[in-house]
Amino acid sequence: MFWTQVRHFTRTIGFRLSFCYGVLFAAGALVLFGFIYVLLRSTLDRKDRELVEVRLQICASIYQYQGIASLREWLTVANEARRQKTYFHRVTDAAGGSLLLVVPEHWDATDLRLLPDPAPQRSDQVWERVARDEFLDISVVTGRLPDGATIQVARRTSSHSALLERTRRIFALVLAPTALVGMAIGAFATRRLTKPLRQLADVVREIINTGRLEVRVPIRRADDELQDLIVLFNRMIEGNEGVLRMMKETLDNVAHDVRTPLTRLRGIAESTLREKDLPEACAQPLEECIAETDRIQQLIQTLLEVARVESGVAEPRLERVDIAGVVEDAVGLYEHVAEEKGIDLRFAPQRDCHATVDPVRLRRAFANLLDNAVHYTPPGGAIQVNVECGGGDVTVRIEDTGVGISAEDLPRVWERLYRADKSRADCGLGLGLSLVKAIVEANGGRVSVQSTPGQGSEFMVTLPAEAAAGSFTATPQMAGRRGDDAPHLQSVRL
Amino acid sequence: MRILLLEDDSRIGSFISEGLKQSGYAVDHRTDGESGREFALLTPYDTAIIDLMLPKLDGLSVIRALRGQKQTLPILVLSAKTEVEDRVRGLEAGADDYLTKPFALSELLARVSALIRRSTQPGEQSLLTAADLTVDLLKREVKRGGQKIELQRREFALLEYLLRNRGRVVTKMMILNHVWDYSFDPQTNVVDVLVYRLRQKIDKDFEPKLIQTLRRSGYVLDAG
Repeated sequence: MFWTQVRHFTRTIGFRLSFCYGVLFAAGALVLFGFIYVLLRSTLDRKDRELVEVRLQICASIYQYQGIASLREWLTVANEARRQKTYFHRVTDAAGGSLLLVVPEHWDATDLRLLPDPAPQRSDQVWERVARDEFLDISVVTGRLPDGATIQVARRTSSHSALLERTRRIFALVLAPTALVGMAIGAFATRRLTKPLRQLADVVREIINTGRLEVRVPIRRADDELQDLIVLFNRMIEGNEGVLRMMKETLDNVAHDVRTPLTRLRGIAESTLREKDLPEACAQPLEECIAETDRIQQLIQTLLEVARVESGVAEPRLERVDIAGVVEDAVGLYEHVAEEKGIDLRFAPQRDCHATVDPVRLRRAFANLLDNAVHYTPPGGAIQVNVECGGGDVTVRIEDTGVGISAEDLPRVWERLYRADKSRADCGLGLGLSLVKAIVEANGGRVSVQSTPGQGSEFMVTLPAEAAAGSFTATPQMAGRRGDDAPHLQSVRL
Repeated sequence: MRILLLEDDSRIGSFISEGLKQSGYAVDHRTDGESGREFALLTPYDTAIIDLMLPKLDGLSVIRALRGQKQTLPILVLSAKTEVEDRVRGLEAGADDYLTKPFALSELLARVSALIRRSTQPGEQSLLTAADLTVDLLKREVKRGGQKIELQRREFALLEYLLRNRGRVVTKMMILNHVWDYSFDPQTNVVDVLVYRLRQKIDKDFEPKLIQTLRRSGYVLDAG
């Protein structure tokens, strides 16, 4: 769980961008430091190098043009003039014999030992820096003269390794905070930058959860690509809302335009039937007219409702409910009917299976499934209704020992207006099941069916526990029907 | 009993008004919302039947205007829309009942009668009787001819509802609404079955038969 969250977090744009910022800051600082470090060291070296090299040039010219004796003399004069011997000088002939050696007063054996061997020279002039101790370095240049002799000039200089060391340490101390500051700036910047993206995600989530299209992503003042996306997204939602509104209006108008003449038709037939001296020959057809009007009205009503639920036009009335309670209500509608028909209706709910759904419509879906089960199960049969939850789902199973559905019809029972038994006069079994499917799917669930012809069917509704989306409508049907003394199951089904 | 009817379709309006007159009500029929509101505010009606889609002023606005003037008359809404939202909106605006087109005239008459009964019978009785049948609502006890009868929950609810509407027609939809709180008609005849069961218990071995079935209308409980 924890690691999943960590992995999820490390995959967010915010984290990745601030991580990149941190790495970039650290890398930039590292390059900058390297440059400063090299520059510092070469500046420090150049001064030390120039001092000994100039001396070497002078000495070399004197030796070359005036001989070793003049050089010795010049050195003595120069040293005395400065009252202090600062420079070490050594001239060696080609065979390695020492021609001249002037050692500063403050030099000791350590300095001499540290000096490079003057004999083997690869190039004409080589400068070296040799660390003597913590505070001092020796800057030494070795040059070869045309006659094969070697001249070496050296002087003590203050050590710069301490300075460089300190620079390195300061940098090491600064690097980690720099990276952190970089990450912090990165996090801040990306948070600001991705805010519209998060708002967009929130809005999309809200639309999915509530089915309402009135929400819009807030427009920022900035004028960038994200703004573009948001404006386009809002425009798209507006378009969808318009289409949905139009569909809703169309559905309402169809409903109104069909129902009004039906109401007239039914009303005329009914008020004529109320006439006192109506001949019996007229009463019969008028009653049939009324029955047919009711049939048409139910058919249209269910069709419109399936359309409304499927298109998402109907607004959802979501509530967090115990699904067992919803199923129990539907079962309650059929318990007496089942008992009278000699069907053993059993209800085994697992309690506290909560889900956020539209309970009124869902109850209707369950009632439709039960209606089917009661209708197709012969006397002496059984209907078992189960409610279970687990694994993030709530499952409602309605099993019957009815006639069953053949394998070829099975995949098509959810289709609108599909009827397994073509010869039957029932109007649209598929309509009832397609409404079930539309309602369940609008609630974020799914339906499935298994059946063995002659043995029974099992209808299953799976709903996401606690989650929801979608919309639909339950409607009252006002068609009055004949009631007789003895009940018999009616065959008009939707 | 005076009833205000607001319905813009003249054909539908006239057969409703005929039906109401036949049942002994006086009817004022208006075809637009504005004059309907005027009438309702000037005359004390016993019930109003209001179509939601009306010219000039829609039905919901008329209902709100009436309720805003503290008019407590029962209101029955008619609508060609069936959406739950419209139903809820109508009831929220202050309507007492809702009927979707197309409807049976008998259904409308039964509902109007039930609405008037509710508004004129304020006190709830705890003992309901019809002939030699008594129902004690507090003890939830049913007796006929001194003989105790055991009823199941829904059978009891149905009997109580029929008794409260004694002598009046109750339709299947009204029973579905009241006993199961269902607003749509299930295809299986659950109401007939429940009425049949109730009859088996309270009427079969007794005289007179209390529950009558009316063709195409519903049921009525009457002592005769």
